[in-house]
Amino acid sequence: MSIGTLTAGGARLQSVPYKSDDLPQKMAKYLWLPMLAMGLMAVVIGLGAAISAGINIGDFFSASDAESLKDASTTMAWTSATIFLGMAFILSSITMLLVNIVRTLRDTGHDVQVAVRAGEVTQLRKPLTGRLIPVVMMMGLMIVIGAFVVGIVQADKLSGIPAGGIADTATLQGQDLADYGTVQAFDAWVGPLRLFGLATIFASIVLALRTIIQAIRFQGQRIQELAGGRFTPAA
Amino acid sequence: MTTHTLKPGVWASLEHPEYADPEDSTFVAFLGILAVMFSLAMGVVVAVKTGDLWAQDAAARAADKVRAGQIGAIQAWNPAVLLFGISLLMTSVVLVLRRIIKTIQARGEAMVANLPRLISTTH
Repeated sequence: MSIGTLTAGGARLQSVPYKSDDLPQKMAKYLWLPMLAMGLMAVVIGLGAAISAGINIGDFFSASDAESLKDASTTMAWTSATIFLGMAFILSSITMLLVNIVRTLRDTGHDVQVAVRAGEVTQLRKPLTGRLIPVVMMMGLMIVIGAFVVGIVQADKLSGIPAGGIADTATLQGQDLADYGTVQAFDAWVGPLRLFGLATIFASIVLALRTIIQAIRFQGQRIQELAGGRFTPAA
Repeated sequence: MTTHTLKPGVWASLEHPEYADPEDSTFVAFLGILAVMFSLAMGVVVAVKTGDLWAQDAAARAADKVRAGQIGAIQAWNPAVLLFGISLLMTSVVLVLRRIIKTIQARGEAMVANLPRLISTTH
């Protein structure tokens, strides 16, 4: 329930009684570090696999070993998927930390109001941008996870194709040819899909930054309100 | 009764000499930029090698397995290095955000400690 409205420059920031974290805020509080750790781990694993794929490609050209090329192709299919998944986790961790900034601004505002014995301890009513943050972030994360699954499917299909067929695609026939064609077709749209997922998480970062602006403005306006005589100064 | 949510001692921790020099985030960002620049340089190397490969006639090009292998190998790991560098830069953002949170906590702690006294003095 809204208990008051602060105005500044025509904008109206609604206040509500102070309350503790809701579910998305609790998740941001506890999950930012695991998300960062998982993200970094995925990126490092992807980098290691990519180096291994590079070595395999070198082997193929030096020894004409078709198996090496097959290994490299299969590895590269899931490597990109893994690295992008890691980046999505790291970006989600950034979004969660920005939510933690909003939480910290709210809690410090609470403490200051208690310290100056304000009549009512209030906080900013969660703006629309704040309500959208978890939704948009999860949407972006789901898109990248979907693209990761596509990468695994690509790797699986490539692993079923004979090594000679990958080295010389003109020899492919039947199901192998169909699988190779599917992998190539997936390649055309899975890259943009991954970037779209990351862009969606970036959008949640923008929403979080806009919410922080609102929270800072609210603090300034609340101090103005308290200084207007609606509190009992400490003795 | 409403109590304070802040843990005490944040302000004191910010006065520690280590806080004045945010070298952790700067160092991680530096590594990230280094990885991105390295990837860019490798991209240029691949471009030069590809140009050299295609400057040859068809028979010589087909026989030039060494150059083709180098190009293929670099193309396999170079994008991963680029994305690794970007990830390091994003990690440095995380470190900076942690510092911002600590600073906001310290500001709150300072206000809680001083604002009531300040306001009662001025009234």
